[in-house]
Amino acid sequence: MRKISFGQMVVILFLSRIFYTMTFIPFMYSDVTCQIIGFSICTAIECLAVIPIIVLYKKHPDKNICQVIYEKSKLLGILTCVVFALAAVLVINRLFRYFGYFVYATFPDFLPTWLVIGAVAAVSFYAAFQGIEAIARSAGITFAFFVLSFIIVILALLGKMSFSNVIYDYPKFDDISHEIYYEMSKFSELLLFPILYPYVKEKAGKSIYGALALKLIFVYVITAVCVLTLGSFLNISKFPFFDLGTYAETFIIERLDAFLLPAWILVAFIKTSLLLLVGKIALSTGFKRVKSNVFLLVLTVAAYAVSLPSVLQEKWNIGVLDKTVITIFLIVLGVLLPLVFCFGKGDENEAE
Amino acid sequence: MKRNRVCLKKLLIIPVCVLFIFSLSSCNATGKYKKRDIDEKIIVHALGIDMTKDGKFEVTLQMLVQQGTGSNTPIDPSKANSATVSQVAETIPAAIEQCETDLGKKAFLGHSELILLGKSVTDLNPILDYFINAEGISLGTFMAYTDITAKEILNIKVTSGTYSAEVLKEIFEESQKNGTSTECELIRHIDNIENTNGTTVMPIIKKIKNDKKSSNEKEDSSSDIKFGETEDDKSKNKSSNEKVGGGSSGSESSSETEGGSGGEESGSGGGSSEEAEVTAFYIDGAVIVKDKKPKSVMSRDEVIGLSFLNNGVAEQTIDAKMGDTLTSVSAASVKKQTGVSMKNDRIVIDVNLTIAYEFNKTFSYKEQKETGQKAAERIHSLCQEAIDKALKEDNADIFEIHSLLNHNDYAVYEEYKKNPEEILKRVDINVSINPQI
Repeated sequence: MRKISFGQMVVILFLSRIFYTMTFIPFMYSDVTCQIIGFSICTAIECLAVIPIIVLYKKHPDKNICQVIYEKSKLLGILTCVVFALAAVLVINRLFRYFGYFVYATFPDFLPTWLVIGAVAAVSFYAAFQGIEAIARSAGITFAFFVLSFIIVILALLGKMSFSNVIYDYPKFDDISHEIYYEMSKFSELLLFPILYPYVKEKAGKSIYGALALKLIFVYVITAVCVLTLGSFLNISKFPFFDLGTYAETFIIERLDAFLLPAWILVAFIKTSLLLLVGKIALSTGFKRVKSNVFLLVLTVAAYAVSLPSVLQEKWNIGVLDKTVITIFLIVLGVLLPLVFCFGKGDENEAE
Repeated sequence: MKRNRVCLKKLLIIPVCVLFIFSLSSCNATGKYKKRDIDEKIIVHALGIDMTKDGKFEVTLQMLVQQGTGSNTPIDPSKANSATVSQVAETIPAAIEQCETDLGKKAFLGHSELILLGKSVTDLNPILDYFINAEGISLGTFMAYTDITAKEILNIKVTSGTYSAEVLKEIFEESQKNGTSTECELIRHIDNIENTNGTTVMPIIKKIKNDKKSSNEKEDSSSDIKFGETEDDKSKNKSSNEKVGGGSSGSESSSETEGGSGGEESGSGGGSSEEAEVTAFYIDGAVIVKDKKPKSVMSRDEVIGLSFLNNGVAEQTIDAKMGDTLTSVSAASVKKQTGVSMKNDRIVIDVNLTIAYEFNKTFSYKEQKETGQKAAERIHSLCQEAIDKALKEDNADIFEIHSLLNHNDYAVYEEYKKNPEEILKRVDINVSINPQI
């Protein structure tokens, strides 16, 4: 089995989350104060929520959650594998709609959205086909590009930041609880980590905390830059992160949104590839007789086919599916199942 | 080694990804997604918006002349380098669409540097709504008023700089540095309006006439201007070519294209007699916008006072009168400290400005101190003028009062959100100036 490093795992998990910080705001519910409080509380909850998976990893470092369950109960194992694949398809569906909305709102005359989504699906299929190592290396480059472009944008905006732009509201309990709930629905690391941890060479358990710490830092920095620069425009902006690039200018380049755009595309591609890979690994664990790449093709087609009606009807936000259904899947697969199966005897080669 | 090669091959997915997505962009050659070359687009540098008598929008687009050769290029500095096209329609997007139809090209607003509002513009609501949602428009685009029609200003042929809008933008930037212009970026207007129930302040750009009688005589002072009134027919550009019923929508339209290629062109001589007289622009005063409507005009001095109060001055020359002689002092660095307190139901905002001076003459220390004191008195009076005009007279929050209240007294801020008018009546701004020699 080809393995990836601790750092690559951190980057993979971080990128899978940061996509929503770039995109989720079109459908945001409350003001930035509640968002940041909700986000902070949710991150603390997430730190606790991953403990069962880490215990599971310590006991079975070479087996993903599907393999662990399959060995204990074949039927339940198969069911778990199918549910994992289904959850992956649903999360990809949400990603396609959000990314489609970004393309639709920002470049309406560029390409039909269904074609852009199709291109991302096709390229992600190829990346997942190449395996975790290729995705991890691409993720490294994407992360470097993302950080570099973001630093350039921040430097260009330094002169435009002002504390007088900061207007805060006293947070309300309802808004914060909604933000926690919404933030939880974006925690797709719960879907990725239980399947991918056997691929990490060392310290897999710490990698998820590394990703959470990185996420915390970046979301705080992005939010601070947005608030200090955009002020109350943040409340009406469709894509505040992208607007930072629109507003930033240097002596040579008038606007820097073009710097952020490739990062956006690459992050969407990395996340889709990872989810396809997770679906493929899950299904090939449950159905060993079928070639794994057949599942990969099926998952890609299914994810695209499921997303197509929404994209064609320009129905970008499906509240119940995006929040409730996906959150339930994440909690069941990423918290409850590991909690049930983390007890009992572990493998001989338990991780330290 | 072999493994590295395999990895490198796998890394090819990134260029493959980029290539695949972008190559698809050339597949569709018709319909909505028809691909256009750069010369098939109008690169708009400035937009002008005027209101007609019947409440329609007259949109003027200023663009770079795109001919590769000939005298109309930026290469020849004696010739104008911009062209304009105007259309009238019920809405701004409809007017822009008609401009596109006239030229047979798609307008690209991503490089717009300036949005100019004619003095006939009475309501900023539809204009801001459009620009907040406009595709590709930069948030750093400057938005300002003019004391005539935006069309007239944009029709003026500037022979310096790469293009006209660039010259106008440079004038705004320079004026912002010395405090004669307020902040005028689109995002700042939107931000102010969002925070203050529709209040902002926009600089006014005017043209300097180069008459035969007096070479640098400026036009009428800002105090005579009444914003929100539509232009008389007389003041309209008489020489512009008009055509009624142009465009597909059949609405009233007046089109003028100069130097543009394709579409229906008219000669570039429109308004040439007036254009030849104008050599430069200048910023003079600002319009206070309240409830998203122009309310009153601030004078140049009031704007300078406002800039000092809002920490917007980077360098400003102040005249200090010493006996019979007038001396110029440069306010080189301004540091602002503010405090908010409540006194007998009054909200007192203390603004303390520490201003470092640079002297243009050699003075003794005593003279420097005296001159500095005089300059401080002058700055204080400018600030007071701004406060009297905006706060006392117009009850407008253009001093970032909302932000100060939000940071210092949240309970009052909540009241402000509910009823800004009442709170602003209770605000006193005390200015103290600490000159540093």
